[in-house]
Amino acid sequence: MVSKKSKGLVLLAMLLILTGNVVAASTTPIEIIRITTESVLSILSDKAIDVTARRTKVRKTVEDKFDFEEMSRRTLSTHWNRIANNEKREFVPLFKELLENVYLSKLEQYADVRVKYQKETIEGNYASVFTIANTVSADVEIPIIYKLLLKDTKSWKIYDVQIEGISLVNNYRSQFNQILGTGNKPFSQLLDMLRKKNMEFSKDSVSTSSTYKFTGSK
Amino acid sequence: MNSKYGIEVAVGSFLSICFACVIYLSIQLGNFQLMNGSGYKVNANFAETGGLKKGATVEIAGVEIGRVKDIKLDDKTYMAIVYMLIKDEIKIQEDSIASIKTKGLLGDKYVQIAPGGSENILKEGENIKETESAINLEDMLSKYAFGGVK
Repeated sequence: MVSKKSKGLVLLAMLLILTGNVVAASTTPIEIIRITTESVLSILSDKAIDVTARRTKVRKTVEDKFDFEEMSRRTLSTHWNRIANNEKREFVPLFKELLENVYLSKLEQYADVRVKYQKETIEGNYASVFTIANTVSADVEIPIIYKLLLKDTKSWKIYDVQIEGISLVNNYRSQFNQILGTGNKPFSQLLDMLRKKNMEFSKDSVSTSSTYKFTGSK
Repeated sequence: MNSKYGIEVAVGSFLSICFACVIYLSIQLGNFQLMNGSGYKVNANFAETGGLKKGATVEIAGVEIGRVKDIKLDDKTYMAIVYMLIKDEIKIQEDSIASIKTKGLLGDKYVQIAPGGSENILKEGENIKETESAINLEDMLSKYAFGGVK
C-alpha cells in the first residue's frame, strides 16, 4: 500500500515536472518580453525601495533574458574569431556591465512608460517581437524591436534590441571596429577602455558588481 | 550626285554617333546592366526602405560589393523585400547587419552591410536576418522636437 502511494507520488511529481517543462518551453517570445517588461516597469514604479535595491532587482529580472555571450560575439564580429579564449572570458562580463550601466540609468527615466505589444514573427530559431513604448509625460511613441534566438537552452533569449530602427549590436559593432581598427590594435586596449568606462559609471552612481560567468566560446 | 552621297554618309554617321552616346548615357545614368551580371543573390526584409531604388549600391566599408536588383512588398507582412546581387568573391556572414543609409544628409539611399563574425556564409537566395530600416529624419525631428499631437 505504502509503495503504491509513493509510486503515485513519484508519478505525480514527474507529471508536474513534465508539464512545468512544457510550459517553460512553450513560452512564446512575445510572452517573455511582456512578462519581463511588466515586471521591470512595476519595479521601476515602486518608489518604496531605494535606487540601489531597485537596480539590483531590475538586473536580476532581466539578466537571464539576455544572451550576453551571443551579443558579445555579434558586436565583436570578425574580432571575436581572432581573440583568445581568456580575452573572450574577460570581455563578456565587461560588456554586460557596460550595457547595464548605460541602460539601467536610462530606464529609470521611463518608469511611466506604457508598452504596446504588437506582434511576433518567428523564423526557425530566430524571433522578432515588435513593441511600441509610449512615454506618458512626453507623449512620444518609440518603436522597440527585440530580437530573440532559441539556442540549445530551450528558451528564447534576447541577442539584439532595435530602438527607433537602430540596432544595439550594430551600434557597438561599428564603435568597436573603429577602436580595434583592422585587427592591428591589441584587444587589451578595448578591454581597458571598457573597464575605464565602467569605473566612471560606478563613480557617478551606485553600481553592484556583475555576476555573469562566461560559459565557454562558441 | 557624288556630293549628295557624301552628305548622306556624314549625316548618317553623325546620327549613329549620337545614338551611341544616348545609349551610353542611359546605361551610365540608369545603372542599367546589359547582362544580368555575375554574382549571387541575397535578400533582406526591411520595415522601411525610405525610397531605396533599384540599382542602388550595396557597400561594405564604403566599397561597392553589389547592387540592389529588385524591391518588392511582402503582401502578408507588409515588409519590403530587397533583392541584392553580390559579387561572387565577397562573402557575407549569417550575422551580418544590412542597413539602409543615406549618402550625406540628403543624398541617395544605399545598403550598407556590417560584416559579422559567424562561420556560416550566406548562399544564393538566402536571407540577411539582421536589418536596420531607413531612418526618416523628418519623422524623428518632429517627434522629438515637437512631441506628439494630443
